[in-house]
This record gives sequence, C-alpha cells and structure tokens, in this order.
Amino acid sequence: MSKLNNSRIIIGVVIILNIIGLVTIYSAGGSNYFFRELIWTILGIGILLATVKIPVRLWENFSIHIFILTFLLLVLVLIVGGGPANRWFDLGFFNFQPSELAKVAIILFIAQRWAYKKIAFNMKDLLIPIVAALSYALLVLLEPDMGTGLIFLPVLAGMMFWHGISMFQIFLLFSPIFSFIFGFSIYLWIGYFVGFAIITYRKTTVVSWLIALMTNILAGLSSPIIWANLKEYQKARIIGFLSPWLDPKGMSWNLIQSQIAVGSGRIFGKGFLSGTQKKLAFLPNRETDFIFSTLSEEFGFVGAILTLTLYFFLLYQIYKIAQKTQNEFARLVAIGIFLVFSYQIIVNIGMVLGLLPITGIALPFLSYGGSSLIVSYLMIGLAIRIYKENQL
Amino acid sequence: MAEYASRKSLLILLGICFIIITIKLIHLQIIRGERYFRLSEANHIRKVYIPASRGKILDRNNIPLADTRPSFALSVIPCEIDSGIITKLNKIVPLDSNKIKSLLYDQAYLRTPIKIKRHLDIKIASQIEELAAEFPGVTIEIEPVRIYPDGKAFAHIIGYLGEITTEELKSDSFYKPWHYVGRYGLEAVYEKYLRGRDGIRYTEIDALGREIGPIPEKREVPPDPGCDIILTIDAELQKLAYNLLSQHQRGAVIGLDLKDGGVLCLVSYPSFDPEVLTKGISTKEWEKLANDKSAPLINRVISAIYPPGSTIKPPITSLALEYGFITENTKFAPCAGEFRYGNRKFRCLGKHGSLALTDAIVYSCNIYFYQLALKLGIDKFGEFLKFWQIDEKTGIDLLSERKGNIPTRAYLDNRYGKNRWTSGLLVNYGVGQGEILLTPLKLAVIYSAIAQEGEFYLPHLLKEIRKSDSIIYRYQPAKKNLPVSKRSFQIVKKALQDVVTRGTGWAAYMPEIAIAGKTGTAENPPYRDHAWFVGYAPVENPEVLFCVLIENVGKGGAYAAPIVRELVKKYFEKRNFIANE
Repeated sequence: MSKLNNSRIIIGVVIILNIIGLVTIYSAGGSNYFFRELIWTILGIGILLATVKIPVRLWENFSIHIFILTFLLLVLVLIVGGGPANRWFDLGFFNFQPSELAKVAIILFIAQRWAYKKIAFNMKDLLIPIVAALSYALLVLLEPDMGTGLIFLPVLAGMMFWHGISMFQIFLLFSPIFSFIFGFSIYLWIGYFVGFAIITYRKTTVVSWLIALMTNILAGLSSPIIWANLKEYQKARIIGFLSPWLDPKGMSWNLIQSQIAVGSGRIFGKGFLSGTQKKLAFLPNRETDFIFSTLSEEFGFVGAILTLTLYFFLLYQIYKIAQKTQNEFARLVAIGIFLVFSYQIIVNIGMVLGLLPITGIALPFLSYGGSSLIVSYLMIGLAIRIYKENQL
Repeated sequence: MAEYASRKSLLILLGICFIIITIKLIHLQIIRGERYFRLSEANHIRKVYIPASRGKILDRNNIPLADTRPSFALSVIPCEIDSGIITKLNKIVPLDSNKIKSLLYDQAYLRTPIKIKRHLDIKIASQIEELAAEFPGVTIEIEPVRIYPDGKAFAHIIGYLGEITTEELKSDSFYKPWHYVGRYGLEAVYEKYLRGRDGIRYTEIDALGREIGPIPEKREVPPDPGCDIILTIDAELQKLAYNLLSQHQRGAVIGLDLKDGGVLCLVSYPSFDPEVLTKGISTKEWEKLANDKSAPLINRVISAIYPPGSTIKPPITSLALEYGFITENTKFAPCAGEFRYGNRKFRCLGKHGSLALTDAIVYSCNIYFYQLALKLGIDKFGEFLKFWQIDEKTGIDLLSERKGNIPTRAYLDNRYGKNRWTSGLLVNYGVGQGEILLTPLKLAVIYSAIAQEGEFYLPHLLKEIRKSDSIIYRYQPAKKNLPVSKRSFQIVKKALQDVVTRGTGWAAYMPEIAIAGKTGTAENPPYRDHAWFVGYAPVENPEVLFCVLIENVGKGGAYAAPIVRELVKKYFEKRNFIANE
C-alpha cells in the first residue's frame, strides 16, 4: 500500500508546487511566460513518466558517457552560447542550459565512482570526483553563472558524508575553500590558518597535514587575485549583500526591493495579481530567481509557509528514499538529488529574504525556465524509480 | 546498514535551514510587515504637486499689477547624468558649483527631477531642447513665475517674492521647497490669500522612477488657485505720479480717495525692479541695492519721516481755533522779515506786515506762527500734535510703516536734559521744523480730516478679495469723526483755498477744478530743503487728496504743487469732469 502512495504523494506535491509556480509566473510575468512554462510543465511530466520507466542500472552504465557529454556541452556553451552570459544554447523554441544537466551528470558520475568502493577510500577514489566536480564548477563559473557554479561542491561534500566519510575528513578536504573565503581579509586568514594548523596537527599524518597546509596557503593566496578578476556586477552583489541599506538605490537595490516585496505581503498577501513590487519592475528577474518574493508578496506568510512545507515534505520523501535504498549507486543518486534540491531551495529563498548573497539560482518547480523545470522533473522521476526498484 | 541510518545530520541541517527561513519570514512579513507594506506603497506611488497659480494683484479698474506667466526651468534627473553632461550644460547655462556638487554626489542616486535653474531665457531653453539627445536626464520644465507690469512704478506697494528658505520650510509645513513667498509689500501682507494651495496628483511609477500613469484609487486633488487682490490703486494715476516724481532725485506721492480712504496712488522714488528681486539676486547685488545712498528699497510714503514744514500750520490752527486760543481775526506782532526770541533771530520768507489768520496761512507767514506756538506753549502744542496722532501709525495695510515724532516736554527733557532747552525750539516747531517728524502718509491723513471737516477714513490699499471672480471679502472703511467743530475746519479750509488762488500754492492752480492745499518747505541743513504740497479737490465736497514730498529740491510751492495739480487734473479727466484735450 505504502509503495504506491509514496510515489503518488511525491508526484502530487511536485505538481502542486508546479501549479503554485505557474500561478505566480502568470502574475509576475504575464501570459506569455505562463504558457511557455505550461508547455514545459507538460514536457516535464512526460519526462518524469519516462524516467520512472528507465531502470537505474541504465543510468549507472551510461553515467560516464553522460558526464563526458555534459562536460563537452559545458565547454561548447562557452564558445557558442547565447543569452546575457554564455549560459545556454538557443534552440529556437527553447534555451537549453547545460549547467542544469550538469547537476544530474555529476550525481550519476560520483555515485558510479563510489558505488562499489564502500568505505575503504583511497586518494584516487576521492580525487577523481573532486576533479570532476571542480571542473564542472569552473566551467559553469566561467559562463559566468555563480549560482549554479557553486552547487557542485556542496553536493560532492554531502555525498561524501552520505558515503561514510567523516565530517573531519570532509572538512580537511574542503579546507582550502574556507582558506579561500578567509583570504579576502589577511587578518581573518591568519587567524583561520593558525587555528587550522593546530587542530589538524594531532589528527592527521605529517604528510597529509603538510599537504593540507600547502593547499590552504595556495587557496588563501588566490582569493585576492580572483577578487581582482571578478566581474563588476559580481563584486557589487557581494558588497551589496554585506551592506544592503548603505545605498538604497545602488548595488543592493534588488535585495531591498525583494525584502520590501516579501514583507509587504504581510500575513495573507496582497492577493493574486495585486503585488505592486513585482508589477512595476521593482523586482529584478521577478519570474525567475525572485519568484519567491512575488509569491510572498501576493500570498503572504500563509502562501510562503505553505510552499516551504511542501518543499520540506518533498525533500523529506527523497531523503527517506535515499535512506531506505539498498543499492549503493541508487542510494548515492537519491541523496545527490536531495542535496541538489535542498541547496537550490535554501540558497534561492535565502537570497530572496536577504539571508544570503544574490547568486542567481532557480527555485525548483517555481522559477520560470525550461531547462531547470525539465531537469527537476527528471530528478524526481529518477528518485521515484529508485524508490520503486527498492520496493521490488 | 546501521551506520547509514545514523546519518540524520543532513536532514537536521535541512531542518535548521528551514527554521531559519521561517523565522526570517515571520520577521519580514509579520513583525515588520506593516512597515514594508508602507514602503511598498511609497515605492510605487509618487505624489506629484500641481503648482497653484498665485493670485493676481489688480488695480481698481482690474489692470494687473502682479500676474503670473509660464517660465522655463532647467531640471535634471541626478541618477541619469554624469559630470560630462554637466560640463556641457555649464557651457550653455552657468550653474551654481555647489548645486553641481550635490547633484553629482549627495543626490546622485535620485531618480526624480530636480530644478537646478529657474527663469531660463527662452533662447537657452530652446537651445537645450534642440540638443536633447546630447543631454540625457536633462529636461526643460514649464513653471509659473511672477511678473510685474510697470514693476518699478508699483514696487513699493506690490513688493516682491523670494524663494522659500530652509528655516521657513522647517517652521511652516505649508510650504514646499519650490515655493515662492511674499517678501515685501502686499505680496507679503496678503500672502495667505495670494498663495493658493497646490494640487496633488498621484502617479504610479516603476522601479526607475518613470511615471506610468494615474492611480484610479487615489483621486487627484486639483490645485486651488490663490485669490485675486483688488486694490484701491488707480494704475494710471500711479504711473503718472511715478513719472512726475522721476524728474526729481527722491520723493514720495500719496493719493487718497477721500470718500473711503482708498489709496489712489502711492509712489516712492527712486524705486527698484521687483521682477529682478523675485528672480533672486546675488548677495553682492543685494548689498549694493540696500546700501544705495538714495535708498530705493525704502518706501518713503510710509517708512521715512520728515519735518512737515509749513504744512503743520493748518492742523495746529484748526485746533487753536477750536480751543479759543485765536479767532479768525487774531493778529500778532507784524512781520518784518524776522522774529527775535531770546538772543536768536527767526526768519520769515517775506515782510508780510500785520496779517490776520487767513492771510497768515495764505502767505505762510512764519512770524505769525512763531508767535502762535509761543502762545500755545510746549505742552499745548504737543497736545495738538498728539491729537493728530503724529506719533502713531495710520494702520495702512503695508509692512514697515513708521510712527512720527512729537517733541513733547518729556521728549525734550530726555533729549537735551531737564531745563537744558529753551522755548526757542518751540518757535521753530510752530513752523514745522526741527523734531516734529511724520510720514507723508500721516500728513495726507491729517489733511483728509481737515478737508472733510473732521470726518475721514483711515487709508488702505485693499478694495476686495476675489476668488474665481466672486468677491469673498470687501474692505469696509470705518468712518472716523474728530471732536472738532466744523466751524474751525471751515476757517482753515477757506485759507487753504486761498493758498492756491492767491498764495504760496499758486502753482497748483487750475481753472477747471478748484484745488485747496498747503505748501511746506522743510529745512534739511546742510542740504537743500524738502518740498511739500498737500492738496485736495474739489474745494466743495472734496473727493481726492494728494500729498507730495520731494527731497532736497527747494520750495514746496515751486516743486511739489505742480505735481499735485497734474494729478488732480488726471483724476478729474478720468472722471470726465474735465474735457480731455
């Protein structure tokens, strides 16, 4: 009884979220956006149903091919891509974003690498997924697309944890990233580095300790160099996040307008089509990255909380699938899907509410955009298939 | 499998993130929701003020003396301009460097237009319009500005406007930064009636501050134009008086309608251009104007005090008659050209011999009035001046009216010390010299009482206030009655008539209309004398009175009397009493 219900519940929740998305897109962007999104919804549901039919085994077998193909597409999009940045292929009726596909590709690739390694890791087992994730991240960041580019490393870390690597080891591996972040301020970095060196000295071998120190130093040194090479709008967004009310009509314009939109919705919202913030172009990307602020403005706290609850419920279902699955590949894929959705939801809503910097990432099933929606449906289909196979 | 099941950390982490998001949502939407709601309202609604047009100021025949016409103003939207555009603009229109600075820095984020230069020349305005493509964010706006036709002739009555100051903005919430307020004259006195109330239009704006269109729920409040102020002034008489005065260096003319106290003309010369002052002048220019020796900013009719000279004789005489100090036939010691009092000699302009009262006024014999003053004594003399309220204002509806000065015993004790002054001073007061000081307006009011035998009206400029052509207020003149018998005034009036027909005021004579009046020559050592003439017409049932003062020219009969004649002539020409040749 429960197996049938579970997959149906997931599909039901996803479709409710998608309807919320369609309604909000209609309000924020008008009927043109609405109808295109509707077509993609139908296409997405088709993909979902198709994916449910594809055995997990097949994904496992083709994971390397998919990975390489996606890699090539990511390179190609940098050369021939269109859009405001080199983010997508213009296929006429549809703008295809390979970075969306990359999210699935990296999950499959990592899962395949680790499916039979169990807990006995060696450097090679770790290094290949790390290099794979970093190469994807780098290619997407080059487009430039900071929001999607940053997704690969948390997914990698989460999957490592899921596969049994200790928190400390993961921290050690990712420490160069912290070093990089702290590198923007020399004093913070020195503090971090000294602390890092002391804490890690006792817990590791001398060789790996020295390697960790070296990589941390290199990462720390690189951050000022990278900062100098960031695009102006990227720098502006980071500064804007750190001090939004300093210049109300300057860099952090988006952030403040988004908070006003959300806050002005109050408990019950201004009503469908009655938002003033989104209507008059106060909100940037109001049908894509900032869809949640339009939602909150028109449907208020009630609408926002309902949406959040649906998301949490969906994520919980996927988590449960990952938890209960026996097959290691499928288990890792499921948690990868959980991680991708979680990351996107938290980062997107966090950005809209002013908790996180504006990085530009789609909110699954709500944001306008074909690639994102179809890939989201594909991942749901995959999760359901994993669930079904595990029940057999 | 046990180790897998224990990895709930990811779910816990997710839960924490969702809780943080929920807390933030509660904070934004519930705790601070009202504030953000207000912000969002303000965000998309712009209040646009529609300037109310200031009321006109019209003369008694509805000739505009202060009017409003459209003018060009240069506006910029700070966030759309840069220093390059400003530099280019500065070549066409010189701009204030402080304003430029604030535009490029402090106000640089503003998306609403700011006026940076007003009263733009039409040539420059059209030049900028033509080059619009080169000046993004720069617009030419049309706004109402004040104009004053024949401004110089009316400047001291009408006054001028000035841009509101920061302090005034703080103290009076009615005003907005673009407002002009009355600074002087009737513009200031009737500011509350003239200013009107700006309308408000609500428009919806987009994120870039561009107007999208009206908001149906928010009704437009139409501007409430200011009231029109109609004056008792006759513009033609005023201009004539101004032209007549302008032949001299400095002077004042006041004309009164005796039937209601309405001011027919009120001229102070030299004058200034109120339009120039309204547009705003530099501090340097202002100082130059304020420190000008001929004091063009002073309204000599109401704000300057002069010794009345011989014009004081009739007012004193009428009271001396009333209280029985003299009669029509009283004679004093004959005039031999000078009068000795103590060890001082006081002179007369002629050797008049023995004169009775009428002839003493007609020939303005000083010897007679020296003796009259001595007969009255300082206290009585002061009392008489007090009776004429020389030390009080007339209460005309203008700012900065000055009181006159009466040399009472107390005043003299205070000025010279107790018993340190002699009656020699009093001798001089008898002929209106020395410390008796009054404004031309006050003298005109005194004579209006004499002319009408004790009944008179206080002077005023306001005739009525109109709001969109219906009268909302009409000035009601209050009749004043002096407790003096008509007989006393009649004796004096007879003499005043003779002054013009056969005495010192011959230059005011005109065959068509009988004028009565009195000359005065106020000493102003070491300079030349001030010339006075105050006259009314017709002698029987007087309608109009003019008082003229010309500074430092000489005798009143020679310089001031002809001006009164011309004004009386003009007045009756307009009334068709005299055929216009």
